Amino acid sequence: METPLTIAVYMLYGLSGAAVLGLLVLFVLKLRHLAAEKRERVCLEKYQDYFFYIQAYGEEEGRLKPPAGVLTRSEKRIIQKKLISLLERFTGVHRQKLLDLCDDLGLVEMDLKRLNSWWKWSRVDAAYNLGMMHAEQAVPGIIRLMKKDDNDASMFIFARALAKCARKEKDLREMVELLVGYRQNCQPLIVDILSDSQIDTGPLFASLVREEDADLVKVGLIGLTSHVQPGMDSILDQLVNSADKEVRIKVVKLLCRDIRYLTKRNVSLFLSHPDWEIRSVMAKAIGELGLSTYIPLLKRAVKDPHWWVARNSMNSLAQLQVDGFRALCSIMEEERDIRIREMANQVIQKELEKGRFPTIDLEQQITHQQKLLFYQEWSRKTLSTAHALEK
Amino acid sequence: MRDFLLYYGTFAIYYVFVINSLYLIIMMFSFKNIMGILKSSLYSRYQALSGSPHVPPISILVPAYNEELTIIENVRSLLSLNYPEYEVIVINDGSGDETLNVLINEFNLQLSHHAAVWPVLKTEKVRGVYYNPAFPHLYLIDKDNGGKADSLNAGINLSHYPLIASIDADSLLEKDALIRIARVYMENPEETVAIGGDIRIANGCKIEDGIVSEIRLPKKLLPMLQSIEYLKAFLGGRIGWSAINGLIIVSGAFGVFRKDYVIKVGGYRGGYPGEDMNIIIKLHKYMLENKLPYRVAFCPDAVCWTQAPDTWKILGSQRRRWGRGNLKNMIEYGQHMVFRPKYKIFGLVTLPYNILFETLNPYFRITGLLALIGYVLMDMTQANILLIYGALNILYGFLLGIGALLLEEIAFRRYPRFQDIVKMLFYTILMFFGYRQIGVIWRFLGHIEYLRNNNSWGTMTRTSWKAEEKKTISSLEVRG
Amino acid sequence: MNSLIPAFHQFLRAYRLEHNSCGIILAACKQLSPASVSDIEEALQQKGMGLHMQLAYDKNTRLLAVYLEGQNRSETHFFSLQVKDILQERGLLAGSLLIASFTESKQATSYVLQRMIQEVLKLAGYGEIKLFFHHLDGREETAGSILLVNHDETVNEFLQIFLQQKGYQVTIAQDGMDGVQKYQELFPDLVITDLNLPIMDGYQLMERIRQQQTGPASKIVVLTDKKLEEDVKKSFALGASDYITKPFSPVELAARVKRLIS
Repeated sequence: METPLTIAVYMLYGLSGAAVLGLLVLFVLKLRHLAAEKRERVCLEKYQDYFFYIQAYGEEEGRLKPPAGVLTRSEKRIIQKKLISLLERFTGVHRQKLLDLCDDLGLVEMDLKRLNSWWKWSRVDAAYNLGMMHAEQAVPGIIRLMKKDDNDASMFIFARALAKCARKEKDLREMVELLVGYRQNCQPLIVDILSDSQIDTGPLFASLVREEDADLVKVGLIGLTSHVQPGMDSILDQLVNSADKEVRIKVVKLLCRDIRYLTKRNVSLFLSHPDWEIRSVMAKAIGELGLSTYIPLLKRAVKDPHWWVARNSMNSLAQLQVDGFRALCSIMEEERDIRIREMANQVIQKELEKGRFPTIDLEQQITHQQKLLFYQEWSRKTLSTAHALEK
Repeated sequence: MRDFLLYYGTFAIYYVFVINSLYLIIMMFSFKNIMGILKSSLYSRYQALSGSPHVPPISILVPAYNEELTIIENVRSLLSLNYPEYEVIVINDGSGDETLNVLINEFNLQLSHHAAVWPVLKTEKVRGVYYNPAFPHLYLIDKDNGGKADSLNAGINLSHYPLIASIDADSLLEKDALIRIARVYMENPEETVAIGGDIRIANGCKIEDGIVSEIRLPKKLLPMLQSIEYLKAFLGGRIGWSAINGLIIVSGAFGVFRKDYVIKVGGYRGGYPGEDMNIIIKLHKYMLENKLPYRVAFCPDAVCWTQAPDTWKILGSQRRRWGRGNLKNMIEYGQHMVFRPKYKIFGLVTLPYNILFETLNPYFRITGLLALIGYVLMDMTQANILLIYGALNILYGFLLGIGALLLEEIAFRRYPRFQDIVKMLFYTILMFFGYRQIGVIWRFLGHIEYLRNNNSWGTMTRTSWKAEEKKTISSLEVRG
Repeated sequence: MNSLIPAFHQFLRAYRLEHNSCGIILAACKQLSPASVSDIEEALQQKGMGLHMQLAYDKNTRLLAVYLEGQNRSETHFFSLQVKDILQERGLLAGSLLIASFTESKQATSYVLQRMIQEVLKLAGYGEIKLFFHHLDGREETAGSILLVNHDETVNEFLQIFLQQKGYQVTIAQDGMDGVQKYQELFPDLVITDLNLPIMDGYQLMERIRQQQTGPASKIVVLTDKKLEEDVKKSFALGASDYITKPFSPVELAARVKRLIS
């Protein structure tokens, strides 16, 4: 009877000990944070004039001077923080002068040393800072860390730092390969990370598209949407038949941004593609690019069994000026399937509704008026034929 | 008899010890991950990311039931989030007040009978969709009353983007909450099916133009206690659970989901509260049954501020609702999933933990306490056993509270002043004198309500949103 | 006549500076004894490291002048930080500092120096360092007025310094609502706005500005993080004259602003 309770009492002792320890850590931490905050405030105050100076003379000749006097380590850190917040907003001369200043202050050197720290989060801090300071010297170190610390989200911090530091395509390429190896399917993030690079990433994307690995290809395809490269026709044509569905969709999305690729052959191919996503992308693009020549193809796509393809086709028709609108109305006459007629009617009505909102664009107003006139005449005509038939 | 009471009481003591120890283990996972979370959040440049064309677009769904007073401010604040591409879909769930009209007037919306609605989930009748091209990213759905889950389903039908975010109409998102969640999603888009945000209590904070401008602890007792509860549950619990992919709930107040999977599991379930836990359980079940790699993530730096109930009555009804929803979910899924190896961590750890230590918690605690009181009444010389029971409860709870505050101090530091910490510590202890016990009773009452409702089969109320339950903060599974 | 002016001429003669640049720092001090002036000079010489300089102190106005040889404005400015430090350390600073630099010392006439003296005496505040801009043709008006609507404090601080240097009058608004109010008060020549703004976003701001236009149109430049094509399209549709994404080149921004305002 006694034993279980004595254990309980021991547990109580243990808990009290842990609680006291926890409290102690908590208080120490809080006080340290408060002190650090105060130190930062004081330091920023002290160097306020200096910060004005570095912001005011970003485009004059000559280097910016480091502050007079000896800086303590913590002062350097605080100044670095301020410099980084400026650095990430600028390009051009201003950035270059601040980068030179970081060098002169010895900040790059300081963080290069910390890159080898035993404490993991110091390494992460250092890599981030070096990235923000575009320190080319840090490239090998960061690549090494990416290979070593492969366990968590710090991978992306390293990658971003590397994208900023690297001046050579091959380093960026290695980074992409490491990231893809670490985690598949985060291609949009990889492309976003690459957009931080100072070098032109277009050729890199063009070469990634030619890779075997589908993940690398996807990175390339997403990248190419914002970096148009010449001479890609044949490889893109091949990729349309890729075994990877996502690759196929991404290629078509890419092709649909450029009118040159949208030959009659391609458009009809995509509109009858087995993947509904591709049909849907194509249908949408015709309207967005204003390709009135493909109205007949869209009229056929309206009957697509997939809701989104049908809907996008109709929306595209509505976007294609009066001709497309006319085609929409004719669907109402010719189509037998009641659901399609209903959907067409919805899109027509929605298009006409747009007139209720005042638009700025004169051109839009005119097309809208034309559509409205056409609709009124058309509906009179069809109504009278309907009447005639009824009789 | 006496022996039995003693045995049972001793059992209760160890039950309390085990439950808290398990919680402590979960919290250790939080500690393990906290530095990574801190650094990733610190070093992700959200400002740049919020303009990036590579961020996935999101549809924000805002179910609104009788929210005429606050809805304008909330929609305005949602329309000015830092995010590249998103839309806000407000769903008026047949409100009895002027919710619909204040929105129509404020944003000059026009009824459009012809909006494209993909009828993928069944809902109550949609009366119309309102829109104004001057606010191209705002839609208002007006529909017959059908509850919160039904409203969310209607929103999904209209939504145009592959991700959906559900947000309570009485909550305020921080401007970069969405982009912070998107960052977590982008790091693993294929496997992430849901991500929860951190919910914090806005009572006591200064709110200007839909933005929390000054963060303060609540001044009133009840919101203050809930503030501590939330902190413990979200920082101590959810970070840890998400680390082992055993998260059982993403708060309805703020969570982001992949639309395709939500549709695949049939959307939100109506009829009972706890639809936010239900959807997560269904997602776990679906992904595990189809052997798809997945994770349910938690993003503690994406903050949503919510008004906590400040009267006992409203709080009680909220907690009873949670109790009801929790029991329903546990009964429905517990019997199929518990201890089946197929359901991995979720079936082997999360669900058993929730059933044993959340759902059944009131019974063990109350009966344990009663047994010990009975025992002591029979033999007054043994009063110290009652003391041990109480001390163990309080001390362990206090320790866990310290843990949560430590996590907060390491990574977030939302409450800057030293006295805030002292105040929070004080309330961590105060919680054990009355508040927790009442919480246990509420939960118990919720269970009774559930059983009564279930007996009167067929007359189940369809609307889970009654007027007196206006504070529809998501259910949050706080340990009672 | 203020005793600083003869001292200046003496300085120019001593260093034969007609075709060289020179910097001037004026500081409002407390009463200084000759001893403390020479003490300050010594300290400055130490910091200046071989820099040619001359100090002068005027008892009536209590102004301390530091003349620097061959220093352009940024160098003069940097040196003024040390002047301030030294004066502050000794508790001798009483007001603010005014600095100027002349690319050819010939431009620095007694008249200009006289105006500087007047201006520094008018300066309120303590320990602030102000730049003196001199227009040789005597023009006083600014190059134009700019309203800066942005929530990013770092950018606000920088652009205010940067554009004021270029002679623009800069007003800052923190959010969209504030932006509309300040726009109505000031009717600036140019508005630089972000799209992501609290309370009222950049689009609504532009819409409001367009509705209000009665007189000559204010030009709008969008400076934002948003890189989506749709945003660019929409901004131009709403009347923006230019669209610049962050990170941006301040030099480029200045060139575009100049083109739009002149």
